Amino acid sequence: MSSRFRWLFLLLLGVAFLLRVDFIFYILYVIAGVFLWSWWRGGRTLQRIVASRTYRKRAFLGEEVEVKLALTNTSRLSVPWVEFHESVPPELRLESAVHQVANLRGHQSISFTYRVKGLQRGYYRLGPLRLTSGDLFGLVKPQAGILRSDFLTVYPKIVQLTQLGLPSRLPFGTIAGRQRLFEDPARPMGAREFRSGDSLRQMNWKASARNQKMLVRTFEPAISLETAILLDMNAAAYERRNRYDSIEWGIVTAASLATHLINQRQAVGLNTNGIDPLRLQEESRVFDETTGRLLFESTQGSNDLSRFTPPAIEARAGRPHLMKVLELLARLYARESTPFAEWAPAACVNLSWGVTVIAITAQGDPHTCNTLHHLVRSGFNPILIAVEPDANFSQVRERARRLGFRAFNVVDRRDLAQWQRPLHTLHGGG
Amino acid sequence: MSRHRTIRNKGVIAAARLQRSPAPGKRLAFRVDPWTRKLIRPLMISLLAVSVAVALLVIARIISPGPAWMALIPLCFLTALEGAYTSAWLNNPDSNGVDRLSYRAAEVLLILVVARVYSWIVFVGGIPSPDEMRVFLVSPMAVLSTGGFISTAVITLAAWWLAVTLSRIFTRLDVSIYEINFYTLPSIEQKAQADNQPIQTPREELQDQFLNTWLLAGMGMVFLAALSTFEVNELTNVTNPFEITRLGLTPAMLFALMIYFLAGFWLLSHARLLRMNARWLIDGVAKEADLERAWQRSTIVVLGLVALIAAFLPIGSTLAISQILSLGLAGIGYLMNLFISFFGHLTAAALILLTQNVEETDPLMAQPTPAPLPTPVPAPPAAPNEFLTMAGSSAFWALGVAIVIASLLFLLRERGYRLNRTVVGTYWSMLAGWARELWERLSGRARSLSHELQNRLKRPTSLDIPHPDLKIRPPRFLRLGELSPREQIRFYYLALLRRAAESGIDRRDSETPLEFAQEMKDAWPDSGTNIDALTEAFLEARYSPQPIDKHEAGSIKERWKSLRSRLRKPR
Repeated sequence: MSSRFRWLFLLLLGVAFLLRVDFIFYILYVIAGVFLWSWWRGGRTLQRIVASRTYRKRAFLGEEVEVKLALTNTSRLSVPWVEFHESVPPELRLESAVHQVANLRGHQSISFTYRVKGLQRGYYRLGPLRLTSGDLFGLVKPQAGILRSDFLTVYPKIVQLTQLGLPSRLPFGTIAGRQRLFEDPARPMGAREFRSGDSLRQMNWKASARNQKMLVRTFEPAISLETAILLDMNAAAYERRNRYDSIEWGIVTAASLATHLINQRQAVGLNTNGIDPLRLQEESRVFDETTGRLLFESTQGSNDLSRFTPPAIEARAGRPHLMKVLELLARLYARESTPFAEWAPAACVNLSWGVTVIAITAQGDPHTCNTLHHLVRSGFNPILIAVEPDANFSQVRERARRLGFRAFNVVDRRDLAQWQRPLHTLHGGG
Repeated sequence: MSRHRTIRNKGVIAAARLQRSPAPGKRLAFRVDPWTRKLIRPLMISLLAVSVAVALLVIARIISPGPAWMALIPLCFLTALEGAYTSAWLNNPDSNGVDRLSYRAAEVLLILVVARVYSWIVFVGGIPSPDEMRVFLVSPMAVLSTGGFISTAVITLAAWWLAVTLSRIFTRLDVSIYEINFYTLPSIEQKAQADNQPIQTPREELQDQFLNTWLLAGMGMVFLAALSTFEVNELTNVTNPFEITRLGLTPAMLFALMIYFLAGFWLLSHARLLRMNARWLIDGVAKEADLERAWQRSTIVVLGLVALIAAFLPIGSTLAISQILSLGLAGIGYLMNLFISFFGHLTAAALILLTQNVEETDPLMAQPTPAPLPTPVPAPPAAPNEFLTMAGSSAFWALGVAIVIASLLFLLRERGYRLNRTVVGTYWSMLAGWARELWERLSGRARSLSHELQNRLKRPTSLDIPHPDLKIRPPRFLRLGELSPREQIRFYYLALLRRAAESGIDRRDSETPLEFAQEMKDAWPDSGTNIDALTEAFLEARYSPQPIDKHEAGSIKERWKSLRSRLRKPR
């Protein structure tokens, strides 16, 4: 269309000169002015629009997240139209896609909100936001801009656990224990008469003065559960029939244990032989178009999968650390990686003595039990949690008992019920 | 103990997929601004069309300075507005059944009628006098063959045509109700109703069509503006066109040019908006009506600013660049002249060379000039047959009036204005009753006047004084069928009295009808039954409020006839 305008411009110019109609110059100025305005303004509209996306970057499974898109026109001049389209995977969003056109006055901000809901753990992409704007007359091509994608981590499902009752070898901790071997000086329980051999540091001088007899402080017994979770994500270890469900359940178990222990102010670490797709190069990352979830589609051979194995998360306490653990668990994929028997000893090299090692794997086969036995002998406190159903798990449990560790078969949520009972019930039941 | 398989994430996701599917009734929020379509766009199209008409009127004024040409602007504007609205209305789905060609033909015919009346008012000074009307009746073409009417019709129809053309383009450019209904459906329903998907309108072609029309008409406007700067009347007298007197642009032409180009730019922006609208709708982009209003505002502001700034820029062929370009053009013209003259000389030289030997050859034998044929004497024109002329003109006017009325009724009917026969019948009966009443009053008044006149004329002769006892006059020009049954019975009874008086049985003033009936029975004993029946009927008609039906009046009539025949005979 602009070519026609050029022709009109030239034709009018010719007519103006030939016929000497001065007023045609005015029309020419108007045409030139409109063209110049469209050309100048059309190219600068998007440069003066600031777009932002505000949302909570992490969500629990099934939790709705509100995403707020804001567009601000930083220019004094109005923007007659700006079209924006936020790419949100259809299975992630709860409403129709944000695809609108609006006008922005000078220094005006507009915002749009949509909600997403993650029903599967993962690392999801929100966006990009594509912006298009142009002139009023169609004399110049519309300009396009983009607001880069943001990401949302949906944590795996977390089952609330009340009482784990896992054994510990460390003398101090925050979970009250029934063995009076170790007393926690941070948990004063009462006072008793001084006995020979009591430390003078435990003397309760004020109470002794008041009662006119020597009294010492008593403390609650405590255990420490500095825990390292070894999550076996070697797909070959799981039965093909239930592989997806079993692996997902293993992740749920690991997330639930980590959450519970950190809620109990214990330090938890995570080590896994699974694949973290975030370790792919940014340009190699592939997101599923329907779900928006980050996929692991490596073009490399299976031998190079170790490159994508995440580094171990050291045992620490606190909510930020828990978020870190859960984020990793959210992203993990199972592939045929290093078998547990080969990977677990190496993973525990840097762990401190006495650390409780919770090994979550498919089954308690002899190789796994032997590996855990070696950990026992190395001074760790391993616990086996097998997530695949095993009709003869009593044999595994017996074998584990003989090899010095405990074994649990946690196949589904009902198996976690023993750790979900209220605290007083557990105490009452002995 | 067997374990029950629990629903895990897979099942939950599948269930959530079902929940996430959009609600079936939820439509895309796509709104358009009705004010732009119903008011601003027709107005802009009409302004653009009128500006072309104004340019034509300016030229007409230069050619013929006498008439008030600018008085045609309101007519052109209204006609253009009507054309714009009608085109929009015809594009409405409700108007699909309307025959476009017939409708447009009827519209043109009515515009011509209005133009004729308007040109009478503007150019002649009012509706024609009866003498002029008589001339028009005899020679119908005299109505149409006046210059004022032809100019009015041409200019008005030009504005109307432009408005109709542009309005049709824009109504087609706009998203139709079918497109809105389909594309605002959720995508699932769109797939389900794929057969109902509207056919795509070639909007790019339509936009190009508008642009071409606008640019072509714009070039015409520029040409007319240039033409208006010359003294066009001198064109016939001047051999060298460059000697024609140059004038400045008239304010009307300036105004028309400005309006044309600014309204055209606004419509160009509007066409762009409509195209974007269609794309947004098809792509499922939500839009509020506010955007269109903001778009129009922005367009007006930008055009206003540009027009304002352009007004302060130097204008004129006095600019250096203008002079340089003029010199360049003059140089090109000079070179072209040289080139043409050079080739002209070459051609002439070649022709001289080729025709040199021709002069030496013998001249051709002169052919004898044939005797001129006797020209037939033209027959004297036959005297026009007055009857045929009158019949022809009457037929012309009857046909013309019938066509105009039919066109008007067609337009009204298509626009939904139906003729209500009941209402028309009511009005007609009211009118007829009023006319009848008026007629009766007038005729009564005339009758009384004639009677009075007759009485005055007869007063000198005492012989003509009627018998004081005979108060019944023979009714003249009385239609018994129009009287009510009661009046008919009274009439028969009074006629009986008159007949009896003529036969010598006169009623005294003191006699009651029953006493007089006895007296008549004594005189005509064989007609006693009829006399009694007639007397009773009279008494009932005279004194009873009960209604009397026609059959009773009929039977009394029969009795009266037999009595009359009896009274004619001697006793």
